[in-house]
Amino acid sequence: MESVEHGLARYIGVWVWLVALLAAGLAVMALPVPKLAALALIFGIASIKAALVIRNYMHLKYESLFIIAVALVPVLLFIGLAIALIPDIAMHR
Amino acid sequence: MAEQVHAQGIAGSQIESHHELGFLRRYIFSVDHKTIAKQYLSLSLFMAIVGGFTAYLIRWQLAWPETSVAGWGYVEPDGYNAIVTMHGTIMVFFVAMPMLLGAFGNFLIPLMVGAGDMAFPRLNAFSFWTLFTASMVLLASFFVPGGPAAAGWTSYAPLSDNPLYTGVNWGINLWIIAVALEFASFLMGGVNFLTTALNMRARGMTLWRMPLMVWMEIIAAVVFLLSVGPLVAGAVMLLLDRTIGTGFFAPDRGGDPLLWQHLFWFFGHPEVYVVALPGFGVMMEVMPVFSRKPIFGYRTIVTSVIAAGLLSFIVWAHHMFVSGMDPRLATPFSITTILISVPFAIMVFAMIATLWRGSISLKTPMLFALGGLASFMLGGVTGIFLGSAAVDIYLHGTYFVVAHFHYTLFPTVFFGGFAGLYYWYPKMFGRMMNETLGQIHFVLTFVCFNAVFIPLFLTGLAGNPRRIYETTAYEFLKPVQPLHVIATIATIVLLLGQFPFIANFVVSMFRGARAPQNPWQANTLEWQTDSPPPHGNFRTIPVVFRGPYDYTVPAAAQDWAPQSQSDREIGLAAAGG
Amino acid sequence: MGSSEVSANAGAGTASAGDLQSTGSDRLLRELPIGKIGIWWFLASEIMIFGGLITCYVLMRIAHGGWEAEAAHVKWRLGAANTLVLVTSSLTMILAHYSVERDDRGAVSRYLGITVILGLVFLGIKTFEYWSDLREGFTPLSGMFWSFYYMMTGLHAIHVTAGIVINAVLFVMARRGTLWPRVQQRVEFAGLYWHFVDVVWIFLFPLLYLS
Repeated sequence: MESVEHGLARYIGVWVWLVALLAAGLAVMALPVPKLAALALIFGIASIKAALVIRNYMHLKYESLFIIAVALVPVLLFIGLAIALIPDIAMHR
Repeated sequence: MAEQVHAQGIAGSQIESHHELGFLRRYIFSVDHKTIAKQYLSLSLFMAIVGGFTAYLIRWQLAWPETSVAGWGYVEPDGYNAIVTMHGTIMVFFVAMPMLLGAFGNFLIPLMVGAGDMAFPRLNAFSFWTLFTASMVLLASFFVPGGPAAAGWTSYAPLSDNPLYTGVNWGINLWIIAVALEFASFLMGGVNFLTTALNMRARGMTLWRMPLMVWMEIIAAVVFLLSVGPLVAGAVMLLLDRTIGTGFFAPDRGGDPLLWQHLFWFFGHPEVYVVALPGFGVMMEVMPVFSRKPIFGYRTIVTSVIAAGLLSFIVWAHHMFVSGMDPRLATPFSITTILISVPFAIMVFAMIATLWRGSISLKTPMLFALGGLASFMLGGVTGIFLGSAAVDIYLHGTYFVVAHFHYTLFPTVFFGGFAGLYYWYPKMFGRMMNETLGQIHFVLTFVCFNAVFIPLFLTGLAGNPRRIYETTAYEFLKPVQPLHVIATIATIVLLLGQFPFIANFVVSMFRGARAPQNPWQANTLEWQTDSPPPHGNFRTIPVVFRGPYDYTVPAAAQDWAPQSQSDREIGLAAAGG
Repeated sequence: MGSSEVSANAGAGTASAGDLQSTGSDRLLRELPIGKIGIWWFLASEIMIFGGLITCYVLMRIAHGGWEAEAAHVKWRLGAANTLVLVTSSLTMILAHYSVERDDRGAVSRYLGITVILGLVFLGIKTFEYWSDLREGFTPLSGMFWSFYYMMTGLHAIHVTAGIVINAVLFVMARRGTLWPRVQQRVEFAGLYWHFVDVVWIFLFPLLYLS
């Protein structure tokens, strides 16, 4: 188990990263980057932010495989749904 | 570190202490899972009567169009659409789910795993009252101007998307709200089922010693939980389309009606397995007891059910083969649909193997379980026809589909449900039901059910479309009209044949013989406590030594071996049997 | 009638170890606090709801050619401010949980209180944003982008509101010291819900404001 002080430092450190990544995301939009690359970057950044919150604030880093599965399976499932619907919905026009 | 309140401790602290509770707290707002189960059961039986009556109206109209229905009056075409819609909605969402999950799941899961109550008793009560509210909203929709929902239980856009198209305004809005509340209710209930079964099992009750009923209930809960989300999103979108005029599913406003179908069936298909699995669970509990044999292939069954649960998420577009969706999706979905028949076939074979050379006792629960198994096979086989896209092009939207799903749902929900009710009635109410009335009920139900739906396969093959008000308006259907008459007469007898059950159910509660603890000489834990179980279920929480199906263990003193009795107690010479 | 009690007691003494032994994974499941399993199942269902909604939005947006023009008028500065507010509220929420672990009741109620305030700030900025959008003529009926915008942020805002209420209740309970052990547990579970709401927004922000 981490010491108490390390825990506090880590929580605040994560917050600093979250704010920094928010700024980075906004910066990407200001840069003259091709649209697709910009989108990939900002969603990549968003994923990192989410992972930081999920792993550190929601303690998924320390949880059992079962809880991780409960969190992960729905995500995979709706991504699967999205992919299955691409031919019909996204390409319909 | 904050003290983690141990699971059993929580159950103990949340079980009402043994002081006198007022009428309201004890019967109406009870947090005891057994009482809540009975509340779900009462609701589902009441809604079954309403749903059954809609079936009567539908069948009368089909057999004798242009006549006034006895005991009701003339059915208008718009009214017919509403009746068909409400029949489906009530039966799936307000009969099948409350009875099989709400009643049986709630009553049995804590008892079968050896717990004193559910993990979250107050959430449990709240989930029932949410369903009650949903039912009231749905019943209210019968009385609003414009009448109740009339776009089918599937509520396809664009028909459902704009009140102008159906002429029904608040009816469908209330329908959406009622169904959304029902979803919320079972999401809350599902959390309870899963947590209790995983976390509050008695000592010695490993996952592989859980009765199959518990497995079915928790797998159903998981499948429901994971599939309903996108439809909740879709329901909000539909409600917004109808009320404020957004255009999510409206082609004239840039929306996509097909999106609704995808969202609906992504949930709708796993939903039918959610409803079917507990029915199988009942059969798998009843058959070993009444053949005095262990269930055949316990682990195989569990694996198959999990496989079926997983597969159920990737078959949904078989409802949409002719919808205009991308044709390239047809082949993969045909393949997955035909694949999903494999785990169900395995389960059917396992049940047959369980019966094989058993010492069969044809008590009412067993009759219904056998009847359910036999009938389901016809439903399963006809599903293969419909799962092949090429054949489905002809059969989609015909009575062949109607007969197919009644042959899968009715055996699991009603035959399974009746089997469960006759089987667990002594435990729930402390009385025995009348066996003769039960057998009469079975014969009438089984014969008439088949007499209703076999003709409908035939009319479907002849091209009879679903959801139409008057088949005699079509020349090519005139030859099959006698089949509709047969089906309707059988329906009327079927519905009348439920009266022996209702009478039996009500009268036995007051006049039935007092039930012993274990009238069926069964192994599972609910039979090792009083009928009905006391508050807290067990005087001392049992310890579990064996699986649930140790019937006719060689060298044991008797042909059954309760889960809570060790080898020595059942008469085996040395521990290590 | 008494056989069940007798057998349970007798059995406990004579059972062989193999009868009662749980597998490792079995023990793991039983040792999870039930509230934690419960809240994660609930979050799983919420993931499917928001995931379904996001799926619809993304697919429709692609189908309709990207909605560049329609999306140009979202108030990204307000959205970014809200992101900052929510992320900070996640920090204060986890600090409340951290204070629980150190049994610092005063800190617990302080951090819960700040989280509630930040939640209200989020809603305040959102309300101002809606008002500005409506004033400029962008209603839910101004095209499908705006329909999705109002719907997704609206649904999210409802979830934020529910979280604020829960946190406020816990704040009061922590202040009064009532049911302290229960409060300790519930702060963790309320935190899981609040962080989830934050994660949803972390994705909604780029989806709606930056695309």
